Amino acid sequence: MKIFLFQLLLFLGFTSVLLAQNHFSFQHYGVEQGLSGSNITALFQDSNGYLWIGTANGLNRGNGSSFKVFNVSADSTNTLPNHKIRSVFEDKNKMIWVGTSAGLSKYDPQTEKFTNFTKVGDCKNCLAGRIIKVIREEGDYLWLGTNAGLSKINTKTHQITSWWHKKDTENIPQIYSIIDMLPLKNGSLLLATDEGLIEFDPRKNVFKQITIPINLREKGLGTLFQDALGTIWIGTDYDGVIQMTGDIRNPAFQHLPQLVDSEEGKTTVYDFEEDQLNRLWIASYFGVAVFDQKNNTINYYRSETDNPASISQNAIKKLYRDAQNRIWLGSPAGLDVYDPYLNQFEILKHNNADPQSISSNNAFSILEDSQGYLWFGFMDSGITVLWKDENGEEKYHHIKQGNGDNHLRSSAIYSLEEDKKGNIWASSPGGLHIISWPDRNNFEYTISTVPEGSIAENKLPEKRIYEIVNDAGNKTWLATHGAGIIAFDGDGKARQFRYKDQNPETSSKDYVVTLAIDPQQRIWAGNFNLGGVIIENPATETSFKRIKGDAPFLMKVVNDYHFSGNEALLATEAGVFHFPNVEELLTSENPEHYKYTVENGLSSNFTSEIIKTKENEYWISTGNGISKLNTSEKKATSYKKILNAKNFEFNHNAAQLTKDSIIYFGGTKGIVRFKPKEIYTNPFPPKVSFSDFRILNVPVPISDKKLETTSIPKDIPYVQKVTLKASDKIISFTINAVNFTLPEEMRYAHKMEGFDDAWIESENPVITRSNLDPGTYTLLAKAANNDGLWSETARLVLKMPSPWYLSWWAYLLYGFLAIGSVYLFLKFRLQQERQLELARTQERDIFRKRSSRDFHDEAGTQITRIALITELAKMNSEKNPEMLEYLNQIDTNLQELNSGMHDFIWALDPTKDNVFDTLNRFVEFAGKFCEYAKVQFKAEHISENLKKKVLNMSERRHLLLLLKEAINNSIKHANPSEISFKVNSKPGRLQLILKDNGKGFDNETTKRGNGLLNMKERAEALGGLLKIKSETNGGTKLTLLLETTRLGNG
Amino acid sequence: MNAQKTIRICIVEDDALILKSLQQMLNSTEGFKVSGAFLSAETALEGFSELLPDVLLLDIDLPGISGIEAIGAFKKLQPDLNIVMLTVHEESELVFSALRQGAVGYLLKGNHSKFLLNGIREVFEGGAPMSPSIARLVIASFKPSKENILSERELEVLQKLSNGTNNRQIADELFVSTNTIKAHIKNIYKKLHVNSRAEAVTKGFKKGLF
Repeated sequence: MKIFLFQLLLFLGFTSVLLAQNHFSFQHYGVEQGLSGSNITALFQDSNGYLWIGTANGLNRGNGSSFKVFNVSADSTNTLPNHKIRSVFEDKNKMIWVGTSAGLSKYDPQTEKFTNFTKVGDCKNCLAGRIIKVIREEGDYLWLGTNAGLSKINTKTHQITSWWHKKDTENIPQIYSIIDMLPLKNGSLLLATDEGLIEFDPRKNVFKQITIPINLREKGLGTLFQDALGTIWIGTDYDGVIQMTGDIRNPAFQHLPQLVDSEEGKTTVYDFEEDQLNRLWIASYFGVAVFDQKNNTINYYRSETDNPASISQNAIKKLYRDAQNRIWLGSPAGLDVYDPYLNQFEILKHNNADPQSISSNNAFSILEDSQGYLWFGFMDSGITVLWKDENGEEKYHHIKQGNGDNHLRSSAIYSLEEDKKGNIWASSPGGLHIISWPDRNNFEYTISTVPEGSIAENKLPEKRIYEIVNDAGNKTWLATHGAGIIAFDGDGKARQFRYKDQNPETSSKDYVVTLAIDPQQRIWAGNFNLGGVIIENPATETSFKRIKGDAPFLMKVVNDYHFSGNEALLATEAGVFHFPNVEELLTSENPEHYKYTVENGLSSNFTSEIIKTKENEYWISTGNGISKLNTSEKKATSYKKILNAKNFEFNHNAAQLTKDSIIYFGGTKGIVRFKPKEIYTNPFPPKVSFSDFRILNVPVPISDKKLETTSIPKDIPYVQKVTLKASDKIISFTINAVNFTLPEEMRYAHKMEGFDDAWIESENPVITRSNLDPGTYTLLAKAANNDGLWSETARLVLKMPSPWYLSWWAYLLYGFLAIGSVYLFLKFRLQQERQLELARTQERDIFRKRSSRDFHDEAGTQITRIALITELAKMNSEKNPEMLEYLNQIDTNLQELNSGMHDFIWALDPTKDNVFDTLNRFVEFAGKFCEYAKVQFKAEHISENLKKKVLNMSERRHLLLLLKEAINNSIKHANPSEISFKVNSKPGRLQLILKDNGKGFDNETTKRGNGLLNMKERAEALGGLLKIKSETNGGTKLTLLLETTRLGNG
Repeated sequence: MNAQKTIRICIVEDDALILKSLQQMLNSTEGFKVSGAFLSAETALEGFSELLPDVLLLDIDLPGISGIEAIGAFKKLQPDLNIVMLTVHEESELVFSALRQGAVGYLLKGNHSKFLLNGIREVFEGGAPMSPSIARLVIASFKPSKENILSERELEVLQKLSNGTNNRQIADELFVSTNTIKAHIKNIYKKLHVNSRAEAVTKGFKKGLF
């Protein structure tokens, strides 16, 4: 019985659901913004704040500024299995799971690797169906709703269990397609399927059909949702919304067709979502309904062709609330978003299809009358009256131009004012209307007009009236276009105030824009030609004059005055002026003032109206947006950007603070209303990480292997420390700030600890650094949202190793010095290398490789420079043989240095640590050398097996130099015509034979030659045996025997 | 000495001093004329179109677009261009990858200027010097393919080159002229570019991946 009553109450409540008038503005994202497709099929925000957007044509990851597109790549295995995305989910291990039309994919954002699961059917670890429509997490498992049943995957072991309909078992009812899933508190899963509602108890492994006792046209369901109160909402395929309450064992169902915006609610419901005010969002074929359960009100949102802030398409298929309380709406026409922060200023707009909207978008005047009715006067469509009826529902009534006494004589309404009798005065080009509407319960109002004629006859000149103001007494003051200021008293007597001046330039300037009465009952006015004017004593004077202290705003039109105590604020076409002492305006030529302009935060220098709130804040409507002034802090805040309409120009005279503390500002794009007390700053800072790490403008590769160039093991946001190489001259990063609210208004800052003293702020997210000195640095980065709220700091340690060289040479002048130094350096290096080798064989290879490259670059370039300059010097010193001799010496030395250096560099290269490469190097040298000397050189093929025979660096050097020395001796001294080189490889030993057919020498006499001695020493160092056999005129044969057993194996 | 045609040369070298010196040295040597000298591949590619040099000396180690990367772009502008890499690196792998991109040879920077002049002249006259270590890499690069891309004679020439035998000697041993050997080597180079799978793979990689 209780349940019945509850249901009945609910039913009654729902049938009288009220229309609310919240005017939501939506922003749009589509292919133009970089999305890979416009048909949105899945939405998900991950723990980094990224929004994942699945489309029918690829997956996108948005950070607010751009989208990273994941498409199916034909020539890579590291790709999604299909471009049709159906669902996206992030598990607790921060892996992204993507359901596609051809299976499931796991994406690891750290390594950017995809793992795909595409096997389907009656097999081990296979999915129930190919199309993965929904993913839910439970413990270490993900539940997958597919087009042919249910699957479960272990997120770590990737073990898959599946359930699908089999004819021969009764255990599983006819589940084919699972559209949506809801994990219940009792451990069960509630499934929305094409066969209706099914409960699955995983512990008992039992599926149970839940019958919905409502006569539906189709049993298929579209979506499931549980709100914060625990109510389950079911979207059907054809019959709108069903509500499910009570215990799952004994549920109560309620059909609520009124929650969708179509006849009898007969439509498909695609998705539900709940916003931060617990309003239920319902997406159906006919648009979105936002249902406020607390206040029992509902709003319907449809796509309106002439309203760019409306949704892109009615058939919204996906709804998603993100951590910043935005509601994302996906449809086949693109992605829309409702951002509560950007909806603080509500915009009332004219909607042709809806009489319950304002009659035009260009509002000239706004008035709240004593009965709480709001009157809006428009440029071209008369008056709209807005009020709340007894139920609190907002109503609109329009008063139009026409004949008869309930119509206006003109459709342009410049000003509105209420007199003491409760009549509304409305001025038009066609005269001044007086609207009498005593009984608001019916629409029987009458409109009369003030007769026109001359002031002397107490009539009104036929001039436009820009503003009507009642003073504290019984006078009504009119600001006219050409007739100065006119005052009517209670008896209908008219008095005119004009500007009188002897100066013809400024005489007859009776064009008055605005009127204001200060606490002393002085009349202040804004004048088209004169700027600010005043009637100091209205009782005795008949003219107005320029304000004495108008120097700060000289000749600038004053659109509005605001007096408060002793202070005055003037809204002019050149900013807002604050005068702390209003009397100074009358006594001093240059009164004390403070000026607010665009430079110090105002939205626009053209200012229209000033409204002061109870909180002592001034709200200013301007030629472009709305601003707030805090005069005690001398601070202006612009709300231009968060107003969801660009270039919103507000009109003079169109402003009202209501008794309910709501501000209305009228402008060219509608009427803006907001609660000034509730305006808040953006509380969500961006989420910041580093991205796009580049060296010399080339993206740094992600690899877990050690590459020759700098690489990172994971994507840069997941790396704590990067060790650079000395050759990494220019490095750059992009500060990746995830933020979807006004991302173009973000500011960025970075600081390199150990280098920068302070943060470097910029509007550009790219950080570039070049030529870092050796050391360790910490790079810090952060970003601020549009309201200046800074994010947490991202940090990255950068290590630049010390280069081992010093650039101690420079130019030709230092030529000889340089040569000497290089030689010394080489020796020193070699010695150090030897020690290093003994001590740290592991590190040797890396170091050597790096050293040799650096040395190549530095020394090679320097030698080239010296050589070329020497060459040029030689060309210019042909007439100076002495100089030429010196230069030739430099040249010879350089060539030796160059070849020595190349040998040295070669010796450093660890990949050449073997007999094969050593001998080939010799062969190469010998070939060139012999060609140069015009001697035949023959070498037999050297077996690649010798690559396995490892030589250390000094051994290689000894071997190479020994052979070089030998061939050098041969050509220098023996004058052969042919030299041959042969390698005999035998088990355990290696025989090298170098033979020439030169004149030979006597073994006895030449033995002690320096060259030979050197060669012997080198052979000993190699642990080899050198034999030289020579006969006079019988050629020379050099044999080197090496024990290969003692050589290492590579 | 017979009158030789003046060889028009372009140089791309990021070291301003070396560039200037090379330019002066070549310009003051009879038979050589520097028609363009650039500090980077980017500026060279911009100002290259009307120069039509016979030989391009291209530094391997350039800031921005590297010498190796730039080869293809130069070849596109002037397909018959002889590109000779300038390098301080004697690393054959680097030189080899330049050859694969379409360079015809390389010259070591620090060497005596007569090697430079000889090298440029040889290239201009249709030669294409190949060192034994490069020859070995060429053999290795053709090994995996089953089709006989290289003719037997070409393989023979390569084999001999890799053993350190010089052109003149190979010519003697195979009873042909050195010009024939040069032609063989030219052909080998050509096949090296045309059949470059690595290039195709690189291209595919750049386009297909994000």
